Amino acid sequence: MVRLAWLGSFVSIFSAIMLLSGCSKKEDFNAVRLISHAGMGLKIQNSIYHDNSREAVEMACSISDCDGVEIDVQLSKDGELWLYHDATLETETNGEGCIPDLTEDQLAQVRFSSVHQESLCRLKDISDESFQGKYIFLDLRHLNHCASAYVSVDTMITRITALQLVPDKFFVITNYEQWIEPLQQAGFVVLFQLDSSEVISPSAEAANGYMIRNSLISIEQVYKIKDAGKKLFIFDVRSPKGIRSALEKQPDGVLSDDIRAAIIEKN
Amino acid sequence: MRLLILCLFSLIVKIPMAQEVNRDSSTQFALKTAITRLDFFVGTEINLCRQRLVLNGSLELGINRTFFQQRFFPRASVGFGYRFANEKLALEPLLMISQSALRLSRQNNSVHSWTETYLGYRFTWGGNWKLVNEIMAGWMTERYKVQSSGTFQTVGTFGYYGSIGLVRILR
Repeated sequence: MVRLAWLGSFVSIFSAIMLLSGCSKKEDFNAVRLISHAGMGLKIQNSIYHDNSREAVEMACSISDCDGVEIDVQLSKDGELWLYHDATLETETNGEGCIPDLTEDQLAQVRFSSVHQESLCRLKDISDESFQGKYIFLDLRHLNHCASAYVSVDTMITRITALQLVPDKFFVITNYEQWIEPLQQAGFVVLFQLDSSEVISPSAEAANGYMIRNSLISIEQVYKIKDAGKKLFIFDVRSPKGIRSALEKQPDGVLSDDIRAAIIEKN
Repeated sequence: MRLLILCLFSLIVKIPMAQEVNRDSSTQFALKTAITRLDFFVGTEINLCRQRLVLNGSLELGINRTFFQQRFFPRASVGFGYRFANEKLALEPLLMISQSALRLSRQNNSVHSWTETYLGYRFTWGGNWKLVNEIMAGWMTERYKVQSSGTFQTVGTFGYYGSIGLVRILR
């Protein structure tokens, strides 16, 4: 009798949950592109691979309904493009120093301090097949933190141009205003990373679009920027609540650290 | 660390020596909440205790996915434990194998599934009503269909499982 009571109560609870699951009605977010941030997310626990590893980028590109991938790119001493987010190697790898101070041979030995110990990856190591049909966002790092010096934008442009990425699905991101013009002259669509949606400096206004944290922009400001003919992408989106609020603002795209949760929320 | 391992080991070894082991069979029902790499889970568990062996089956739901994203995310598990004693306070080794599945997109029906194999311990305390805590670690694999090729891809990594719950002895 007791067992029947237990069983009955829990069958009821599960039925209620199933009904709740079936009753949801979602807004139309079809125009919003879902971009996976730093491969399969930056410092997120449900990611199988380390951020900005070849494995993470290829996995993100292989998932249905993931429209593209954002990658952090740094230039090495001998002018090769490497995928890495942080300023120094010590924080996430077994290496030391800054990427702009190291050569290809030195960086080839570096591995991430993760379960899989993925090797540090060059942008050219990622197969063209992975990127096929996907949006690619390259977040260009302009500073060498170890030497407190700027990286050569010309070398960066030469290396990126050599990759021959599809122009209409390819964006470069910078937060250094002086790079906007040379990058545009090279034919790239440039997104400038804003620290505030209130004040956009005159030189930043030249950018083709903007990247901004979800917490720093309202729906009215999104429409204002889009009405000015600029593209707008929102990042720093992790929780289901954050993803929903970003999608409701109807930007051109959302860069999510939890791409699975973002796909569920959109579809 | 060494001291902690020694304490845990001595607890496992000494409990059955302290008193006569009760070899009675029992059926237990549990309500529990858990944390994994994928989500927080809430669910029920049935334990069938036959002498020293414990066989359990559980059904859980992912809290974030099911409740906050309204996407059904079930997780079914079977576990095998070994009771050193049927005492008020017990620490048992436990092996658990789980399967969970989540449909990411309703439009193209893309389903991701996870298989988890964990080894750890179960700590129980109480009489007819018991508090239960499980801590386990192991390997989890994710299986999904690759968009471009249409083939299935399996990737794996380290995973963990931690739960607390309430157990009622039914008979």
